[in-house]
Amino acid sequence: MGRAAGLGLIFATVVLLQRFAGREALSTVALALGFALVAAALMGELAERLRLPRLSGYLVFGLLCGPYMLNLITASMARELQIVNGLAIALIAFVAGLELNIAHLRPQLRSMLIVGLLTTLGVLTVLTLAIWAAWPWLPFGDPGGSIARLAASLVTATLVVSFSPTVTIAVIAESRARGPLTELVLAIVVLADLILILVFALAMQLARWTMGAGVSDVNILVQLSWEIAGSLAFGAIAGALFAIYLNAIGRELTLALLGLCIVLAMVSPALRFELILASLSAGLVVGNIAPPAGDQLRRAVERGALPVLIVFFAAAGASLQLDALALVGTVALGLAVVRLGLVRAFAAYAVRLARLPEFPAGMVWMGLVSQAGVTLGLAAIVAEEFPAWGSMVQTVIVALTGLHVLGGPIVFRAALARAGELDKLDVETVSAAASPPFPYPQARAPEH
Amino acid sequence: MPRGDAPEIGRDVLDPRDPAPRWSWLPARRAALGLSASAAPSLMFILVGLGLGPAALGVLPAEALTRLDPVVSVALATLGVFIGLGLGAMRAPGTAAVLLAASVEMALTMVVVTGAMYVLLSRWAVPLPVDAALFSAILGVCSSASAAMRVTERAAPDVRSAARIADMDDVPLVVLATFAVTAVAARPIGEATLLTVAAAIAAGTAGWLLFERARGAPERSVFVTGAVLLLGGIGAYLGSSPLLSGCVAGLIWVRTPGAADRIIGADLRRLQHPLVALLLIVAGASIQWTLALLWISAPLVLLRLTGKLLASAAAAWMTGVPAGLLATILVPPGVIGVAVALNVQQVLDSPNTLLLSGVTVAAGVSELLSALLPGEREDSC
Repeated sequence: MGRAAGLGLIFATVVLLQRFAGREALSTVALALGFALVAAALMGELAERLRLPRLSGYLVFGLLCGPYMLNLITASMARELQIVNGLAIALIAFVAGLELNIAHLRPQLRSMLIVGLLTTLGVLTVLTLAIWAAWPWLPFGDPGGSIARLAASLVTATLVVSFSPTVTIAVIAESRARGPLTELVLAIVVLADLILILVFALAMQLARWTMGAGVSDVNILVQLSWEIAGSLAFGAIAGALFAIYLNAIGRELTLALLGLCIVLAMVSPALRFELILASLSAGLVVGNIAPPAGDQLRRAVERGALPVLIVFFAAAGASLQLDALALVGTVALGLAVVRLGLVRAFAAYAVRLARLPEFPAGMVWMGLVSQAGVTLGLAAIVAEEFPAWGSMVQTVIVALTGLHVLGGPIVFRAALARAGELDKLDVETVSAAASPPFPYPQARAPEH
Repeated sequence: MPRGDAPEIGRDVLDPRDPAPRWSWLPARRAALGLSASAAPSLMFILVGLGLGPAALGVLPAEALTRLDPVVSVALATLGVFIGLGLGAMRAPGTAAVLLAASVEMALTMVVVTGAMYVLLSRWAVPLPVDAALFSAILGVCSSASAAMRVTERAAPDVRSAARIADMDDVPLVVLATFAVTAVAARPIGEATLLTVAAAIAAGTAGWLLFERARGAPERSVFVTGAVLLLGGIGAYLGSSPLLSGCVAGLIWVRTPGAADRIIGADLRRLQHPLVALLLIVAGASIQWTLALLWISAPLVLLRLTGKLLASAAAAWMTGVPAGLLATILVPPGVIGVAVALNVQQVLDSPNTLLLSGVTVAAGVSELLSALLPGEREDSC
């Protein structure tokens, strides 16, 4: 009741301000950030009560309050909210790197590699060709010749295929799941995420090359090597410095973490590095080579990541172009159906090839439905770099992510229930093996 | 453990074992915030900003400074919150008399600086970004601020009284700063102030409802950060002062039942130093070295010193605290004056930063001067 009253007061404050000073408002950034942070957090909790992911609540908040509906977050405010995009993308990728515990995955690496690689690359290949063939009928805009269209199709397919370690980990933490299916899905989703980030980097480079973004035929390989190797090296150095800070000083970790992500987000584009690769590399170094003692970093991630992600998803919701969505809603739905069918088919084949038991591994596809943060982050990069066709792709991806973010966790939870893996995970195991339940850090703590 | 000190690792702010009286941590926290000359090297941050700014290395170009506007608003709101918390926690007998003395002290300094600067500026024909009267009044408001000081239970009663006067003079300053900012923004002063207060009451009440109902520290941090952003945003949105919105919310949090004041204090502790440092760095980076700056800042330092000495004598007569002691405590400027000048510069939206430059340079010089004064400050900290 108190939280509802608080939410009501926050809305009343913004309505009051807009009514009396809306047109003459001087600066809206801080107000937009504050409003989005508190109100979206509360909407996230409401979504959780309805057994939906919290980030659905953040997105729905942005959608409801955005310029196309209540207009409490005006178009200019929605643009200003996007100042956190780079930071959020860096944070998400950094945490994905932290989650990738190489030692823990080693015993099942072969099976996971087969399932992960085959499912991801198989779906990606078929989907790229399908999108390339269907491009003239899709509402994306013309990227150029057929080679450019192939590059754009590859970029788009990468976005469509991508999975969400974030949501997957959240579902596992929420349902206290433990067992072979849980481990397989967790490993595959993180592995697939890494593969897709690499593919995305290559695809973006290809797109830049084919669309004449300043890279000549001769130095494309040099450029690509620079981008990938440089990103990894830069991220590794940044991660190593952060690890030194963690172990030598270990104070103000939330600020230090945010500082690291800001540096990654600002320096990477300036040096033409892939932000996600660099951040992932930093997370890998910190998580696997120099992990800090205790759970200080986990707490810092919880504290620092939550506000950034809330604003990030709220901004994504507010940026949702409903008029365009009406146009691309069918396309998004079609892509979702095709993606689901392909994921199911390739995952089933890969499980057989890896000689994993049909039960429960046959249900692995149900854990690969979710899409969230990284996908939206990648789509934002595409829209920024290739506005001619990328902004519409971003709209489709936001719609697609909206569908998957609502449906994915429900489907995955059903699979875990069918596999009998719900409520088998104690708190310590979650902390030690599965990393923080990011971005739902505190939600389960009182219940354990 | 006094709440102004570093928290124990893993200890929650709502821990009922904490035996410290509710009000005792607030002065210490204000000092830790950087409002105290002896606790925070504000001059150092100004110099760092100067070095990084467009006038020197150019690491912080003018465009970057503009982009930091929301952070400055949040820093101002944070200062306002601490002023409100400090004011709300003062329930000791004689508070009204101390507030009166503080108001007189503040007003006297302001009148001296405003009057003399207006006379000088009218004759010098220095190019000003706003009307000379308004410019002088803003200089007066900024100059009337004093640094808060950290006092302990061991400090002498006179020192504690003097520290309370220095704390309380921020209250009329916040109100006057709001009027000044609103006037510069060319908004109706009454309407903008009332709207700011109403919106701050709503946001503060929402914070009060939410802070204790948060499910764990991360969500609590989200609510606290969101509330402070809202308070900063309210001021910036209305062309008013985030100091006022923060102060009103701080008063609500300390006066309402529950632990909202402790929660906000503990959570803001993580942000306070970076925010204040950033505020001073931005002020330092905004300094434009011109001949006019010398004409503004030199008399400002002298007039502020004169005003504070006169004001100390008046406040000493009203409260019985020795005038010399009061003077040593009131002369250090702290960061509030610079914060007000930054707030004015935000709404001014002009490339001419003479006002901010003058106040920042004068604050730095006054900080140095105050270090030369013999005093009780070290004893009382």
